[in-house]
Amino acid sequence: MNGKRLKTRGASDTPLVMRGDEQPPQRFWSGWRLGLAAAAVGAAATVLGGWLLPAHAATQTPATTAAWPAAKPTDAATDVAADATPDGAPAVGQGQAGALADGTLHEQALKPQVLPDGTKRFVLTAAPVRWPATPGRTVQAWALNGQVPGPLIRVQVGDRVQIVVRNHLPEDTTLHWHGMAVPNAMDGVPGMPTPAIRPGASFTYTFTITSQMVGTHWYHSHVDDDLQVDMGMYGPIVVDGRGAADTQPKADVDALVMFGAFKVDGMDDENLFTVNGQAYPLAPTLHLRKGQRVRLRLVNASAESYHAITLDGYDLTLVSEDGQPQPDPQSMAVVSLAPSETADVEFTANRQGTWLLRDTLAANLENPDAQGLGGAEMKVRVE
Amino acid sequence: MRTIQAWVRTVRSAAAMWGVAAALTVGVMGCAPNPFASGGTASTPAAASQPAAGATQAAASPGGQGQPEFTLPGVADAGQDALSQAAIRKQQAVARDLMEERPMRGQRLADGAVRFTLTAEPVTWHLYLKKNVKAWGYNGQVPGPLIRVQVGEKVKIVLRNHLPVPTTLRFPGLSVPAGVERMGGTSQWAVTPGSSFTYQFTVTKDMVGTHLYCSGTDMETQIDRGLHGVLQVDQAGGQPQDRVDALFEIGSFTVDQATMDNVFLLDGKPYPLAPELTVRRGERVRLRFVNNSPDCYHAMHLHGYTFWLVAEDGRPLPKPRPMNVVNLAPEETADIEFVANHPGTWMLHCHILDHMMNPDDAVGDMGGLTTFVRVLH
Repeated sequence: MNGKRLKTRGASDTPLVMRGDEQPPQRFWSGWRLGLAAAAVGAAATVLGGWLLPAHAATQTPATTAAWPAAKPTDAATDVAADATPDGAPAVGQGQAGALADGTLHEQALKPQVLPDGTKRFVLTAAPVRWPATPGRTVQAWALNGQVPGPLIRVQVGDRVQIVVRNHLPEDTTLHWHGMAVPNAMDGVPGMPTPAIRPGASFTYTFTITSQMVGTHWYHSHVDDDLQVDMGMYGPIVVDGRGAADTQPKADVDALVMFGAFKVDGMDDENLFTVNGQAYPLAPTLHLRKGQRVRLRLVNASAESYHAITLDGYDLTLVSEDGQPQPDPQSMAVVSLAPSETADVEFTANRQGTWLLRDTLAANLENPDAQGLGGAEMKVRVE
Repeated sequence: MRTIQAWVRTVRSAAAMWGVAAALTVGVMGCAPNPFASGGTASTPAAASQPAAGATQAAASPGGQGQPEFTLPGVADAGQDALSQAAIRKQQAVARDLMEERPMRGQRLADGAVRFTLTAEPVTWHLYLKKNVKAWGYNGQVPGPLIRVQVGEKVKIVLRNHLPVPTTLRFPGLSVPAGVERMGGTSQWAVTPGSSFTYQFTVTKDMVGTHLYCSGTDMETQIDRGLHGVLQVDQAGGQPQDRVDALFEIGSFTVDQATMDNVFLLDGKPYPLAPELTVRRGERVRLRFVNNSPDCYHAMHLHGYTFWLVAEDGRPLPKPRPMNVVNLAPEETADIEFVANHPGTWMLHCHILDHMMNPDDAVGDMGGLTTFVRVLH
């Protein structure tokens, strides 16, 4: 059974928070206890056997399913053939992807390089990867720093920030800082006024963090964006107030949940839905202790789909919308999010049990070609 | 709580219901598919006579003329040479007038009432390069002209039907008297081709705000062909002059016999022909959004700003709510405000990303529900 806890990172001593100019760790031990259906293990081994992997990563064992409920094994070879890129993009192992999803949940942030004048310098490299999204299915993704979603950038009011974006994709790209009133030249809309970043080139987004920017936001490509966002070109950005100006009351637990989507099997519409880059049952589990006050930062990072979020067994109080504190927070069972909206919700974990934090749109709760629960949901366990 | 197995059963049975699936489709993809679409050569009568919820005789047998374009889903092509450059520029001016909230002129009657005439008629409408379509519009334009009235006025709106099928007008969200608003097709009361009908009501204080008018007959077809417009009710004496006030009405078309809407319009035009707004730094700005695309949700996002939702469906919120995306279901309206204190050219667009494209776009082109707000330094 999944033994993740809030604070432990498993057996690995490789830091998941990366310096701005580091590559994602090549050697990563997830340390997870895996309850695997035997057929799923065989399918995953078949998938991995086809990739070119560094020798030391060959010992990775992917977490393809949780013990409950077991997903029916898919025809992994067919899935890979449908999605594979011919250019040998690196594959991310299932264990690593699962740990990254968990890291996003617990708001592990990208560590910047701090320049002599105090400027925080982050580096985001956009490149194709093969990303394990559901048990037995790897998708062709365009990821920032090798992960979907891209790494969390976390800064506070007053920070001077540089974000270097390197484009290793086969087409132009940019990043737009959704919800943040950055200078016009840093806004990421191609040609308005700054040209898009060509393949092989880079651009440094430079701006100072203001109080308008406080809250839960996200960054995403604004070039060919219906395609690029649904290939993984997005990530979260959270801005905190500074010191006494930080009026947001602290919760016991602060967790980040990004709902995203892929279009697979040549479909024009989204058909594979993820939570922090992973479809259920690979989505992370949030472990809580009874009585904890919890703040969830919800982001709809899908290009086209609405996600209406509910936490079974609980009401959610909507305290912020698009990062903005609301004048009259309302409690509700379902928080409806249009594409690109963010919402901060709060609840007190006063009911023990294992609950689903899920989309109410039933079509988003299935994985392609698989039976059982899937897609845009994750477990919340209150002990 | 339910066991997981029970939940899975519930999911499966829900997904099996077509009605639910349609609702899910709207939520999942932003637009509901056209129930008449056959996805192929839809000019056969069989496609037109498919029974579906809301189908009227008007759709199935258009008055005996049997012209195929009235039974196809969406709008037919008019040909790339159907409009001169001068005609296209004239349509551009119409879109700009609508953004700037220039209303149609009403006729003042002897009894003090004001009368507006809306003629529902076929119109050739330019969408993007080489794309002209056979639409239906009020007074030769899509959307129809802006009607602006004030509290206390006695209003008469004359609908003249120059279409080959029956039609009606309705005013969602306005508390017009019972019997004034008529919905229906030939099986109920309707304005037949060649006839006219006068809708009358007195404007009361609760009507102040951003509203819409559209066809009440065979709505899946008629509204989607262009029979929609904006009705703005100002308080007595007119609206405040201390701010910029701009209108962005959202419409849609289905072209190239697609199964759902694939062309999206701001004030009647998709980008790059959608009107763009220029304001001076420091001005207070109110934007009015009206969702007149009958099958689609839209999530309107403005770059560079937090804005405040100040009215929904014309009703002022007791406390304005800050956000940067405002979501609109069909027939919803929203008024937002912000102070233009951040200079630059800022994109204003629907964040359902396939609504930002025109069907003939090359990779990376922008289209659809996209425009810009230019804040001068």
